[in-house]
Amino acid sequence: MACPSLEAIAGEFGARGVQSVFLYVREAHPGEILPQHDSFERKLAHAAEFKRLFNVRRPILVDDLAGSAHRAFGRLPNMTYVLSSSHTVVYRSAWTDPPSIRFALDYLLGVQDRRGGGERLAPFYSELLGFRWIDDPAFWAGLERNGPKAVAEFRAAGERWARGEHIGSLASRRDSASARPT
Amino acid sequence: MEDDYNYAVFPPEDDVEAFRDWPEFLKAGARAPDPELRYLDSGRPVRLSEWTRRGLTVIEFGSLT
Repeated sequence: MACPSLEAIAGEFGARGVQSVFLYVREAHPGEILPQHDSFERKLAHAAEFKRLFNVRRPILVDDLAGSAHRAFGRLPNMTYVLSSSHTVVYRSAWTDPPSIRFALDYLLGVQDRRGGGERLAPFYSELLGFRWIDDPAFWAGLERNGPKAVAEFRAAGERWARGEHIGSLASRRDSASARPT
Repeated sequence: MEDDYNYAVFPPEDDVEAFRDWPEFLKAGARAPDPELRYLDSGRPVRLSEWTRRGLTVIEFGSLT
């Protein structure tokens, strides 16, 4: 599911010259009410419903049915990238996380200001372990909106993760849950 | 391929692979892909570079579900 709170960041940083778009990809938790995309028309219809339901004001760009853009960026369900004017990745996050996006944008705009002020700055590689919000009631409500199948499948997946299966997602979730920020 | 990508049952077959590979995939400093997309509102084709050439661009990936 997407992160509606990015709308506020888009507005705030838009005033400082930062652009924000939403890239609509495959359904993460398809159900009986909101099934997987079996046509581009259905994908467009879901994207339109997403815009209406969450009052999305950012431009919505829709990937093709085969997920070409999604695959090219790593195909995680709710990741965020920030690209520079040279089309270079300057921030990326495996989960959309407004606080770290805000941090990154402040930093990157600061770089522009510092360079504008005459500082000589060279790029270097940096990483950050993020800590994302876990809003279980909202998440489960979203699954129910998708249909009972989506609820049942996520519940079953949770049982598999608890048994140590499906380690890709488990590693991401377990590491985030057990790590401490300091 | 499209059928596999638009999975009907969660979790998708490529989920483990995607989460495993992502930390080493398209890292900061890399030039990003420039796929063709479509505006929801107009249906007009657009490439991400039409946005990024104007400055910093935040791209959130996601869906309704």
